[in-house]
Amino acid sequence: MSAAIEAISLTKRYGRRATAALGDCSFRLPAGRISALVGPNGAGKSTLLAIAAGLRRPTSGRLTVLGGAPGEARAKVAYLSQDKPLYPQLTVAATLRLGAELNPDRWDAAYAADIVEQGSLDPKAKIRSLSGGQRTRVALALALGKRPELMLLDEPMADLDPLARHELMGTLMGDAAEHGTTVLMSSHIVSELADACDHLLLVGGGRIRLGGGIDDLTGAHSLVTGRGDLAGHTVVESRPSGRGVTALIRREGRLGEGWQVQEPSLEELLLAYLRSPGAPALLTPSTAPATGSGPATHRAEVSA
Amino acid sequence: MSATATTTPPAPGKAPAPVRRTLPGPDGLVWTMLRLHRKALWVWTGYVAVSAGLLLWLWGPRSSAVQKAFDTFGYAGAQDNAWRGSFTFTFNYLFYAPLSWTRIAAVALAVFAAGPLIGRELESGTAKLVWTQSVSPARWLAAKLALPALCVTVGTTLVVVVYRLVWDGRNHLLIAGIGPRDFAFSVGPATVVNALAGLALGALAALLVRRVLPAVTLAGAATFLVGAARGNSWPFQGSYQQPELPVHSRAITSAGAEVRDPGCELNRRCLEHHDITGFTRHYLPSPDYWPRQLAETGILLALTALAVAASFLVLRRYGPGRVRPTRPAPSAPEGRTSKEAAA
Repeated sequence: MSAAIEAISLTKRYGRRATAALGDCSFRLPAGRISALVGPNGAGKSTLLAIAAGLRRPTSGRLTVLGGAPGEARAKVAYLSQDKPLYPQLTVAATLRLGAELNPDRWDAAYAADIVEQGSLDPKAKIRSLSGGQRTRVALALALGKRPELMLLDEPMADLDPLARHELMGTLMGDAAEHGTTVLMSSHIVSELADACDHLLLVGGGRIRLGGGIDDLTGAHSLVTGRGDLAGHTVVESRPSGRGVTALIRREGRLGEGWQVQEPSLEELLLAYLRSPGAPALLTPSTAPATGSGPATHRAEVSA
Repeated sequence: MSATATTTPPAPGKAPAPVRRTLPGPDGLVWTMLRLHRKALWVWTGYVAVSAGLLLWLWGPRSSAVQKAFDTFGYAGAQDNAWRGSFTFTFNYLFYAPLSWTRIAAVALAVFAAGPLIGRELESGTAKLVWTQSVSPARWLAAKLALPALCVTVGTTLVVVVYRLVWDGRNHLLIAGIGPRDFAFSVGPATVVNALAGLALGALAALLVRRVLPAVTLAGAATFLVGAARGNSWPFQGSYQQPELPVHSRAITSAGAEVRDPGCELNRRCLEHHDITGFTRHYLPSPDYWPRQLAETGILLALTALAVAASFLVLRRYGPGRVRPTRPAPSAPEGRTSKEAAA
């Protein structure tokens, strides 16, 4: 499978501040995945998305997007930043026209208009008169209307009401499934991610701590309760519970006797890793970057 | 390789995209610029129209009274007209208004570029919106600079040309002194380039500071200082004053001979006594004009070019730039080739 995004030792420092927003971050996002980008505030999610969108320059390291440098395939990449900037003086219709003018080879006017109409927005309304959620809808229409191959969404649904969120998420995911679009989406709403995404990247401390298919990741971990020896397994988090402990572990072989074993939910998995910043990172093989100059990744073209 | 023809359907698998393109322009940037800066374009058009209109009015109806006084009393008549009545609406006063406006316009253009044109887009993030459509930052900045520069060049050139024509026909009606000298040496190609320099300085300030208020202040101040240097109003420029303008000023007798002005002021009997029936007066082309104009134009052009080059350099901090490939280029990423072909 070809990589939609591949990062190798990506580092970004803002100013001369000691801590880097991203430090030595390496991963690979296979094409066609709908991936959640999760992490605590300030973990570098937005920075990562902005670099991939070709809006920021990494301090060092390398990131390829759809096989080229970020910004080389602007036409095929959609990006929705957290603040969802739009021109306040334009009308909704003019904003969509802007999308048509600036994406001459790809724009799907009917599709973009549909998304706006579903929100019963008046095309003649000025953007400045819209509510936050309505603006998000217009911004999404602008992002989806260009029929991207890769969507980079930074907290896309944060200010939508639950109904609109559900409906737009459905549109987004249906579209992604139909066209094989790769999506990388940051969010804090774990329940929503569990439904929509099939892939996960957990960022912490400027690097990827968990990466891979959600099922693979939850399957690789166990939530165990009981007493006994967990030596040989990687303990991500352990808490006393009753007379024993409840622990989230990465199994390395068979568990000893006396443990109640459960597969963790995505939320449990995420919380365990977020609470234990020191836990070792896990990247599934498809998510680990091709290191160095080896010809490990075969770069089949993403369907043109 | 890429199907960029307007009517061919896009790549298979994509829904056909009915796109209305009205204006030719790379990536629709021309449409975008015109749509976003409609008001600014109107303001600029208004400024040019008012300047040119005022000049034409001065050249035509407004100069008839002064002309009459001049024909009767010569330079003394023009002086009398300028001092008479409400000073601010005399021909002599109004003639210099568009000159002040060109100086204000240069500063206003710097403020416009540092504010609404570029600064506000960077501050509010709308620049990112454009850069994540199919437009690279460099193309965006090129459009942001080229289109206003075109309007500024056309508009200012028009004002300058009309101004020089009116000057050629009516400069005998102006009171001698620093006014005509200032005008004669400052209006020309350098006026146009000064406006362009304002635009470029505004763009650079916006990209450097990225916040509207400081950028506007910085750009306005810088452009004002450039204008002040042109106007010789800096203390260190004391010795660098505009040279005296050569003037041809004669009285005409009833026989048609050009004689020295007898200095009759407004005394008709004196004029009759000297048999004066008319006057002729005009400023001669100064040999200093072109050397000074071209030097100023050259310096301002260099300043503008530097500011533009610096703007594009500063812009690179946003984009990924040309990332040097750390390993042999992978099997021709097609995004690059079509992009390059479009550029």
